[in-house]
Amino acid sequence: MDPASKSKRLFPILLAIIGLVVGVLLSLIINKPGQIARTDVTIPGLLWPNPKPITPFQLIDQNGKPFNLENLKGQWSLLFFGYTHCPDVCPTTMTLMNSIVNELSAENKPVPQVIFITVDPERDTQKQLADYVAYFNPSFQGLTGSEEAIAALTKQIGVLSMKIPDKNSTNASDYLMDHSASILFIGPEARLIGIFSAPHDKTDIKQRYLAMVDFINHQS
Amino acid sequence: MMKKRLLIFLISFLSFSALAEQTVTTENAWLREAPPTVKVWAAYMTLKNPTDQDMVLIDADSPAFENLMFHKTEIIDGIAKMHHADHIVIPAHSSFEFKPGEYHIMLMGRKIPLKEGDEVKLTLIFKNLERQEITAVVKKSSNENMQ
Repeated sequence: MDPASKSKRLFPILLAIIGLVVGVLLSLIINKPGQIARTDVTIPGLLWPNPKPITPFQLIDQNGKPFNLENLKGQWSLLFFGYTHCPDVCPTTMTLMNSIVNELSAENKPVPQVIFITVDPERDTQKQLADYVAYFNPSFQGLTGSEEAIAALTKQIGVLSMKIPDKNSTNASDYLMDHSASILFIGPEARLIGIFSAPHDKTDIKQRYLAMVDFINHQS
Repeated sequence: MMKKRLLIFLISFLSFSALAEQTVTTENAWLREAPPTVKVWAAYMTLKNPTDQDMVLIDADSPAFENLMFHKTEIIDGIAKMHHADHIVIPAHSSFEFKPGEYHIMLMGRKIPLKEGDEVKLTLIFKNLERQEITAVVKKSSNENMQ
């Protein structure tokens, strides 16, 4: 076989290899992560494209100051509804939110305001709430109000609660509350953007929170 | 010969005694420190049952609290509910765990101030009328997940 015919036979193979390399490179460029359309983003719990605008409500914070719709504007907020006599779910969730906030702060990421709203205004006085939220984190806020005032907020965001009398106690003030265990995520335009359903995992919530913040920031 | 028999007797006697004393053991018993104004607390622990029989925990008591109950947290359709459990079964050769977000011992009516590091006496009462005194440590839960 002479050298000329050998190179003739090799030419198509070389062409095929070049074609393959060009194809792979092209596909890499086209599918670059940054070029995926933002609408393709799916974050579990994200309420997009229909975030729910919060309508006016009027509650009282742990220092006796009014807390209303305006206090949700201009910042990220995590809302959790519970009661201070709750021995398991509430302290677990409050502890978890404290860890998340501390980590976000240490990593210079956007830190949300954390708001605990009682579903048990009968026992959760302003003073009780002040001691309760400060125990977990001095920056946490605790809200209370009349049953109607609390319902004005819970009803619009689908938060439920129900008083359960304690069959094993003769004391009428020993009752439990069934209540929504989700953490609600409100954006700076006072819209319900995401819901983190229980059971809660710290790393998972933190990652989804950051992904949602990033997503919302890219919408405007 | 006599000595050997005695030895065999002793060994059998000792191992029999050891078997007879086998019962439920408790590990990592702790109470979650709660804010000072909170009178309802929760305790968690692992109970191990090395015996051939299921062991049934029917009650618990503590001098530091008025009333203790077994509860299970359940999340149904996003709602946290607490279910009262009359008793807790620790299956033979198995274990049972009270842990955050699941089964817990609810302690109501705290009588004395408690803080991290304090030790609390608990009495576990089983169906076979066995009573066990255990000590649970008050801990701050700094980083736990509800699994």
